[in-house]
Amino acid sequence: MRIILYLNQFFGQLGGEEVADAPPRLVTEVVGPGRALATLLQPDDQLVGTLVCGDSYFADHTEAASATCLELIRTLQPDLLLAGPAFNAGRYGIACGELCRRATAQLGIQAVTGMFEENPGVELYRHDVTIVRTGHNAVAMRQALELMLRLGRDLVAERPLDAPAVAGYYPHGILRPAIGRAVAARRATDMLLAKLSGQSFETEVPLPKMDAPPPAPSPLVDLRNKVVALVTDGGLVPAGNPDNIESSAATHFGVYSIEGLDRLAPEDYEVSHGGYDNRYVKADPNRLVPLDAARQLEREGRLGKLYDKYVVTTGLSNPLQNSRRLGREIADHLKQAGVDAVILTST
Amino acid sequence: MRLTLQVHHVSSLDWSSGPTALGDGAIGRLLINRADLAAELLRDRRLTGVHFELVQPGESCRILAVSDIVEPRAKLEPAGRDFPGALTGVQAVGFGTTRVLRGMAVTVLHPNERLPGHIVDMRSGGVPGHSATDLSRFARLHHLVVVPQLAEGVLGDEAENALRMATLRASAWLARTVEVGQPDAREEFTLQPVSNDLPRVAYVYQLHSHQRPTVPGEPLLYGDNCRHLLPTILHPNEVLDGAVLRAYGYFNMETYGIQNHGVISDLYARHAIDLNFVGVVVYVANQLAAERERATLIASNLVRYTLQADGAVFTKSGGGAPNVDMALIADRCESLGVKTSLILWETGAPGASDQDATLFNWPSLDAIVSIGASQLRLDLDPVERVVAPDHQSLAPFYAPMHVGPTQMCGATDHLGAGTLMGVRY
Repeated sequence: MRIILYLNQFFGQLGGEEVADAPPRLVTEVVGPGRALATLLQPDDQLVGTLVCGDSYFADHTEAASATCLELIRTLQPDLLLAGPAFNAGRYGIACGELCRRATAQLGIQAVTGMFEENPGVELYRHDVTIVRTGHNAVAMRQALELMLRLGRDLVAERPLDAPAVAGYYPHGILRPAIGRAVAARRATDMLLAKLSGQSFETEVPLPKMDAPPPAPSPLVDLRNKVVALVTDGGLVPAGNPDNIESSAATHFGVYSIEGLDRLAPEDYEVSHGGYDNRYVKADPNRLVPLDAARQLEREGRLGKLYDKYVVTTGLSNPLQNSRRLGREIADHLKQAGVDAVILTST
Repeated sequence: MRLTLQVHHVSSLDWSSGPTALGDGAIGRLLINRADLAAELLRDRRLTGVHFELVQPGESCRILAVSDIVEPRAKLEPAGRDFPGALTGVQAVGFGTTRVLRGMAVTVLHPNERLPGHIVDMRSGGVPGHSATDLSRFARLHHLVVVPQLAEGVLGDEAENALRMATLRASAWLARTVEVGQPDAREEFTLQPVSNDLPRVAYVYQLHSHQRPTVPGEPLLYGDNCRHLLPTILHPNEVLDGAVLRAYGYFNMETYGIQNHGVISDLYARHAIDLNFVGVVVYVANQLAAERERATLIASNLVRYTLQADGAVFTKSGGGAPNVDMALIADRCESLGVKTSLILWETGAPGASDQDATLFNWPSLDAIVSIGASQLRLDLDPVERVVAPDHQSLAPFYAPMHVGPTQMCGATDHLGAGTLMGVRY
């Protein structure tokens, strides 16, 4: 295997924080962790070059730094990029993660890095990049490099990796079916008894880590001169579902005219959403998309103007990534239409 | 309460023009008089006809459009109390003697189901390197498949009720009518007093999720439809002996799975050994916020103050939303000092990542068992025989199939008797 090693200014022996703004360069001598790595290589492996870049430079000029690094990598035609390991260094971890992600996505090169579990690069990149679990600092260097090399070898040979807990990397987040060691009930009782007696146990379903979304900057209290749109994730679509909005985890949204309508008529709509008892919405769609009430507010002048269309999609087990995309796309559409505020109804 | 199951092992099924009998001529061979069974089922005039098929373990066979699977059981003493509130009057059960025909199931198909519906696959393991019996307990059983024909106009909930009653009727009739010798085994279910050293463990059982509200006459608990059930406590024997049934609409729970309840069986097996099984809190997942809050308070109070549990195992029913009902009760239990473990089926869609695993992330809920996820896919092998309601083209179902785990009966058992799980890579 032809291997390239990526290091920051410190491990690449340019210096300390004072040279963190060093731009990327290729180094042909074996430096820093490269020396340990060299002792771990097999006879047909070759460390073809070491790429060194300052952490600040990478952070402040990510596009340019990445482009330069990728070009330097490309010229050496490696099979594998090993980055870091970054241990607990945040900027270094992010640089390693970003570079590995791009190397695979743009050059098709397998890439492995290593980080300590608290490194912010872990949550940012583990879905896209193979990141081995390392200790907290360079005391654990050799172990980390060994593991990085081993997984790198598997990736280059296109062997499927063992489960993260076994192989020593952070889960990519892909779920695969497996047969457990015992029935679920037994495993649940075992876990409970371990928890009760203070013994260690491992959950089979780790809880998602989620950041709380930032609230909207300032609440809109006065709608009298605002354009307001009605949006729903309850799957209420025109009869015949002309745009095939899926009945769960919809991949797109629909925009339908309510111009001149005072209320939604039940015979004109149907529900494409499998997750709630939709009898009451079918009987009166205004229960979900409150056009009748909104028109009343418009007539009374308490609401400036209703956008002449409503927007619909379907939630129901929609993956977060997808939901975020749909939200951005709907918001873009509404902004371009001059909408100021949204009444979002769900079920 | 002491319940004795008289267990008779069935190792083959066959038809007979004589009486329905077990062990006549060969040990474990059940001879069934299908005319008698048909006559029993057709007492319900909502059925205008019925036909039967026999399927055995190891056959290259798929059964489609399954509406329910039940183990033949009949109460011997006191007699006439099978599935109280549903098949018979509201009567006490959970004690005395009940006969069980083990090693077989009555599998009732839904005549109107769009194919493939729910599948029992006797051959495919679904997960690479595994067998059909690893994937589902139903691949281990001999199936008496019942294909009813419903009268014109029997549709919707009425059809569901007709199928449910046919299922219960077939189960009780077989076990009651069969001529048998001595049972092969006796199983005793009693919660004897145990040492104070053992941790007190409760089971918190979500009977149904009213995302699909039950309708009048839909029997769940001693025949009640539990539409606004407030949490209450049952003795586990009541669950095992027919007082608890599942709702219409198959969703990872069969009547067989309640009779042979995963969690209750495990807690019973460990009672007086490494835990003290103190009881079962039952509740429903609700549609309205106030109902859900009420259930959270009452259920967690029952666990903590009435059962005085140290820990509790939780299961859910239905789809994704009832995860929240389960999590709310579990989190409140944790805040009251009761440790919890949860059995969870994850809802997701293609493209889901581990951020989509649960609809909650309270740190207290750190002990969760996986029974798979909706976005997983299983590969089924081609088969030589397909058993399904007639009238539809079965050609595609002989071929290899790519299905979600909830389509496979027994693969994602909410009640904990399955081994399928989702592993993170």
